[in-house]
Amino acid sequence: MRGFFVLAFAFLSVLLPCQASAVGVGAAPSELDFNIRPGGSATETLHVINTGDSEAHYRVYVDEEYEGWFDIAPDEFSLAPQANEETHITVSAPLFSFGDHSTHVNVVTANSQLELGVGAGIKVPAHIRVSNLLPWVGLGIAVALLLTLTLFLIRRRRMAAGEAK
Amino acid sequence: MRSVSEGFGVLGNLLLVLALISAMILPMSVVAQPDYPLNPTDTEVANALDYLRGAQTADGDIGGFSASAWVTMAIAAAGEDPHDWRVGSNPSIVDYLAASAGSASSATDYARMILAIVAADEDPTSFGGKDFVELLKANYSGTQIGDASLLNDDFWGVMALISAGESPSSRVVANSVAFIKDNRNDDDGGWSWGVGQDSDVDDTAVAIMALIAAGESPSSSAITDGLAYIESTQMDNGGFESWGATNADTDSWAIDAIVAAGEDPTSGDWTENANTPVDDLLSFQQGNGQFYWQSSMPGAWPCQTTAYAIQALLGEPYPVKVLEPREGISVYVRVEGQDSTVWRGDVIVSESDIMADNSGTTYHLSDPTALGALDEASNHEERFPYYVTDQYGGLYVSSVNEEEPSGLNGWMYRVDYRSPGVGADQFILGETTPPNPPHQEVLWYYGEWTDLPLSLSVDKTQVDVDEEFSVVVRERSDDTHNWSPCEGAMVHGDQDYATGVDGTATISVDHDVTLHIFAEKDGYIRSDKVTVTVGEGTIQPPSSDEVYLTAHILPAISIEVSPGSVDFNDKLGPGDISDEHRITISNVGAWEVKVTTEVEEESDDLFLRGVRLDGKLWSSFQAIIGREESETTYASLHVPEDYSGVGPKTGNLIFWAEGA
Repeated sequence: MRGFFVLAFAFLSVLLPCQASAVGVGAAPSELDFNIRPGGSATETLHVINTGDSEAHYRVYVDEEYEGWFDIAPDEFSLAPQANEETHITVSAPLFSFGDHSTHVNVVTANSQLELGVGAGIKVPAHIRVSNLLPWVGLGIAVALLLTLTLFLIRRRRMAAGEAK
Repeated sequence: MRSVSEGFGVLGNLLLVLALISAMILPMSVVAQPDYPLNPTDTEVANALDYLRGAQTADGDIGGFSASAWVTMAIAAAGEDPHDWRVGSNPSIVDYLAASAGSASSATDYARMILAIVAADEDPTSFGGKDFVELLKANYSGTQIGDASLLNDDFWGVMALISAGESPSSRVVANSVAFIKDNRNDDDGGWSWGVGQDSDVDDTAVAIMALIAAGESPSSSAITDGLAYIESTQMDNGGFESWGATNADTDSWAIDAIVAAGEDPTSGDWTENANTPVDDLLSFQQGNGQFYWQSSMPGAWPCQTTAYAIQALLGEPYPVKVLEPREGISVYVRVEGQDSTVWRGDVIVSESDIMADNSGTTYHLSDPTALGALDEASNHEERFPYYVTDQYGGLYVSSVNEEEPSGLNGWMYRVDYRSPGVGADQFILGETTPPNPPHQEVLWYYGEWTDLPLSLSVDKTQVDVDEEFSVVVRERSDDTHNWSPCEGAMVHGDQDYATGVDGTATISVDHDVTLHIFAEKDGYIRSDKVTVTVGEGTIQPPSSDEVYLTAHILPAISIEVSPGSVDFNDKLGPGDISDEHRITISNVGAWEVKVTTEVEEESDDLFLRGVRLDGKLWSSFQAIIGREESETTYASLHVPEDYSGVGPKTGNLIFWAEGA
């Protein structure tokens, strides 16, 4: 098929330069949150929609600083007007990367074949929390603290009762 | 005794002959290519495989979701196991495809996945939690696969189904092949990407591969004419013209088609100006093994282009592997109940074991029968129940889907619309006559003996909103076996329409919808359904007991920018300022957005330094735009006084949106 892809390329190199119609892009959700343990990974889905009025090619990428953390599939695709694509964003946190990290997943459509191509893009904030403190660990610590406090109060009452005798 | 001069003469002649032979051999050895087809160990292929191996990421992916499927096929074509292609102990490329199975969403996606899955010796009916064969078949409209305005989804769909073991005689393959043939461009023998479009080499090559995979003889006119079209585009460098020049992708698929047709792409027939398509394809290979799309252009999908080239060099066209078709006869089964269709679809029938429910006796039918077809359609009663009795001698179907006989009404069957003279357990598909084999359809229906079949056809399967299309309903005579227009039939579409004296009803629909149109009439058997997509389609018509809920959800952040390009066609020089060009940014999402701009780094320095928005450098632009609101800015180009470039320049101005 200009099969699956050759035609898409042809669109990019031949057809798009001829059009000056509107280009558009939409993305959802508006933010991506990843909670990961060091060395672990998590995947979220980003929906990209062509809100323009002609077929367009889209690229999805992440800010350079965190490029090595992300895998995006697919990271390039063409969409007919109003068509949308599910993109899977996988973040793999390196070891010893504890803490909160913020970057952007960028979705853009543009055409550099034109004298000055006018493109549209969306910056989707991505928040990455790398922590060993899983929710159940936190809950366990909270329960342990509560038990310790309860035992302390019981013992104190007993001691107070003993002193009173 | 010979004189010295005689001896020199003989020696001289010998040297002359040697010199002539050398003169013939040496230039050939200098330009010699490896014999075609190449082996996986040949440098060109080995280097290309190494390039792909080096492009693999930790999750197994090579070049992205789509490219990974093509690469998987190339790996298998090279005789390697794609399961072994992994970085260290990380997931293999096959694992990656399985994990990404959910990314496939179109007929061509499903087809590509099937081809890769089968090439990797995996099961296309159960891969990554999906049955890709079923998903692809769900895109079959009754006459073709996928979008009725496109052909490429039929080419790849046919190849994928054949690869998955579908019989070439199955309805979905046979009808799609007919659709492909019907949409060949008669003027040049080629095919295009879309119906009614001009021929091109890529699609003609894929069509040829699809037809040959489906059993078309390479000597048939469809194939020879297609090859003649491809040959007509051959350029002096040996490659095939696509958009004015040759490229690796087009060369690869054309070579594949030539090989699939049993020809040698390096033979004299495919040599132009002493160059073959293989010479041209190899000219795109780089030092690192990668194939560029064109000489100076890597192309958008380098791994994919390299994968295509590997298969072409190895002489391994698509499909790379083909599963053995299941033994048996492939037929379309339709089960029409009293008020609705119980089931319809393709089945493969071989031998069957049918239990008579009244006696508990199991009968083994060693041939593919019409009753066996019903058993397959019911998936051995897991899909819907049916009741068979042997109390009248042969096996008689008394109820299907718990619809019991009543009065003169009961369950009957027809093969290719004819009512056979033997019981369903006696009708051997592909053998019994009448009707003459091959048998295409077994119709089980609830009705009377006198009921006649209806057929329905449409003049368009894809129409715009408010565009008219015609439906023709015909009835079949059991006396003449001919079809004639049926007056007064009720056509069920978005609403009910009665056919006129010519059997025709005209329909137009004022909203996007996918219609499954069928016809009914008292005393007749309900027609099969035909799918018509109106506009964007997708919204299914509700049945009487369903309430459909629909909503159109806007993405949270979404913008539209118009126009999509600015042409400062002012013959500007250093120090000049262009006219202003209006650019409108519209917020078409649900949330308020903050919009900033960027001239991409790759743009010419002219734009990085010279683009002004509302008179200020582009980097100063910032706007907050509310929902359904727009912002206008005026772009101009200030050519820097020290700018030294000349000629056309390109760049990109991006309007970036994020939540305000």
